[in-house]
Amino acid sequence: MKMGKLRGPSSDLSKRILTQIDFEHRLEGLSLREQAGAQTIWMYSLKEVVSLLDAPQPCLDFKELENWI
Amino acid sequence: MNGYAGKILRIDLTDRKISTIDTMDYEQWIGGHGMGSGIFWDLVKDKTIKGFDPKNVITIMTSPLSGTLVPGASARTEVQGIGVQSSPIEWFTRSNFGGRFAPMLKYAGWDGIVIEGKADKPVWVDIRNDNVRIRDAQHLWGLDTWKTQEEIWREVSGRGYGKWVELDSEQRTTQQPAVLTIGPAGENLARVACLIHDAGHSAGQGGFGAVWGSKKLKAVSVIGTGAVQVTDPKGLMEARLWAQTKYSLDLENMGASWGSRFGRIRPQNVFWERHERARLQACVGCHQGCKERSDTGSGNESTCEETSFYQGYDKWKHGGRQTSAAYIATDLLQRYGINAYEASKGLVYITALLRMGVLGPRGKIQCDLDFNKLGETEFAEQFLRMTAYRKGIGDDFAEGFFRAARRWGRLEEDSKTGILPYSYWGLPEHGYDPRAEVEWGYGSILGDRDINEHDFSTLFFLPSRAIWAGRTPQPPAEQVVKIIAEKLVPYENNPLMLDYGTENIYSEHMAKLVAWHRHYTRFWKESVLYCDERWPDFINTRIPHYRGLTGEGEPRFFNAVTGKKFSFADGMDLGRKIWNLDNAIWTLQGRHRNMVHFSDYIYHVPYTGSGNFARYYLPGREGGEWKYIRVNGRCLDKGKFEEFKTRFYNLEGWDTRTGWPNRRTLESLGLKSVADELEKNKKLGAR
Repeated sequence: MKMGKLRGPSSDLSKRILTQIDFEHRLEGLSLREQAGAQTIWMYSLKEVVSLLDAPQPCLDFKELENWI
Repeated sequence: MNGYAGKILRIDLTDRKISTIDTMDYEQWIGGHGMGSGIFWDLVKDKTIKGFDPKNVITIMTSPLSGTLVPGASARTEVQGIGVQSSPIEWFTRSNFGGRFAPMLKYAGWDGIVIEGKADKPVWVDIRNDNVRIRDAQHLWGLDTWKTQEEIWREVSGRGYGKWVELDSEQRTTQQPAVLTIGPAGENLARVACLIHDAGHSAGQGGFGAVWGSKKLKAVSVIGTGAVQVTDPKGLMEARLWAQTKYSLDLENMGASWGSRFGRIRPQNVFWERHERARLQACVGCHQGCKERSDTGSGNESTCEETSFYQGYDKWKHGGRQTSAAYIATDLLQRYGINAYEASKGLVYITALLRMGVLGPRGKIQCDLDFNKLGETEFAEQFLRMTAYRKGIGDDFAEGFFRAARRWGRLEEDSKTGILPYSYWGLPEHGYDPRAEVEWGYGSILGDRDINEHDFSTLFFLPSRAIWAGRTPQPPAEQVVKIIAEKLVPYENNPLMLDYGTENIYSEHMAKLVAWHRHYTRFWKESVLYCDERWPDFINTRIPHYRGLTGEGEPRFFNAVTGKKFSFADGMDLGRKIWNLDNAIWTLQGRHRNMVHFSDYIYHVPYTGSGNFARYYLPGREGGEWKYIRVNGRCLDKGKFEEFKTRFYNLEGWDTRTGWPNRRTLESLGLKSVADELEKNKKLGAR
């Protein structure tokens, strides 16, 4: 399969993606744990999203993530 | 003595008087919570006093099983008294911790400690077998919980391990004393203050650290050289072998124990990335160990939310890599003596307020925390220190974030939206949301605190984890429900008690589940002191038919130690009696059914919104068929919850108009004097 070459994001887009956002535009996810239950996670930056995805049993809607970005 | 030491230590800090209570005077309550409630009932005449009132009595109780070889039941200590954390009423409440305090207290010859009054200057209590002294603690006041313990260890037994400590000419030991202490948060009367023992065993809920601080009690230290006499040692060892060979971790085939609570492959209850080199750390007598000690010396003995409180912030600050900040932040939490759930939920809340622009440089609420450092050790230190010492906005944080929201004029709005996730009695929601895991929420609001009892957590975690991973949950819902329902004595074999479908969550079946849970935990877990990490054992994947040892295991161990002939059902009956006594105390404190309701958002905001991300599954029926159903997106119906309360009060035999226990019920439980007292105070239920 021929792979397309990924272009780097424009500086404007990368700046926007890495910006911290306000409460109204937060992304919501869940982290599941047996003893602590389901912890709702509010995310205000892409870095926080990456951090959640790295956690055990993260719950995130990728469609929503796409829209959010 | 059938597991009992025979006497309870009574300490009056006001008059510096030390006396004893004969344990047998309270034997009807068995131990732990039951005994603590019985003693509190007798000693606190005016139940309407506040937590900081010198007349408040704190009980610190063990059980007949403490200090024995019963698996997962040797090491818990139950703490009770009027707390200072809940709202609108500072309820008579409880907390509980593990480690080695309870066994050591038993080895010193005591079944419990009762603290009364208030010292005029800081003191600590030094218990060396029968030799008990109230000592000056001026030099300890101001120290954190770890330094306090080190100082007491040095005073009692000298530095280092392996040295003989002579308690008198015939009693010596190489043990260090077990110390329960408060940190600066408790000294400064922070309502979020804990009691801490060793590195990370904490009695977190209730604000008992602040209650000790108000009594000027810095620490209780105990060292003992005695033993606990067991009625049937052979029976106890046979029971251990039975539990080990049949239900505990199978070392020959470890994979089989993947879903067992009683014995599992990875028993650690820690959420951060584990240290490279660490070993399991267990409480005295435990067959598993849910904590760790590492070669770095940080993060030792902390578990659960304590280990989760800061690691997320640490990771996102450091590009997805966890650094030492997570461990150090947790250690600071323990050293200052601060409740992990308040710190954790509070931090989420103030971060939301910052993003909303109402807190911090752009907002009305002044806050000098540097949020650019969130995720660094420096931020955690600043946040926890200002809370412990009530510096700046830390004075608000120290009140707990529910009271802080009230001070900031945000309580009503943030309780309506759920931005402040404090669902019951002004206390933080645990992660078992009342809109989803209803038995947890109902138990909390019908009681005094976040129950923090994971008896049914398998029902959520087993399917939710499997579905998350793209697997079909095993065992299937119908089988899980059948196995557990068989064990729910005296309501056994009613699977509808475990139907979490929206149609069923207000039913009498659910009322029975909540009642069962209140009675089971009040006796077996909080009075006999079986640990929440390992008990109950409903579903055990090591057994081909998955039936765990609960129902048979609890009385078998209990009877071997005490020589009693208790059935599981006897324990449930006694649990109901203790639950009724607690309700009588809350009634005298001012409880009425009108105040038994959740925070507003539980009724108006759907759980996790309509997000497709949410995967919270529980057993329920769809079209008459048992499935794991998704319970996201629902909120509780206020009117139907009122109907549920009526069903619950009816089931308990209480007045459905007020929620107060009535004479007939109390007398049937042998609590005539309690009924008389309620009547005298015009608080007796009418029917």
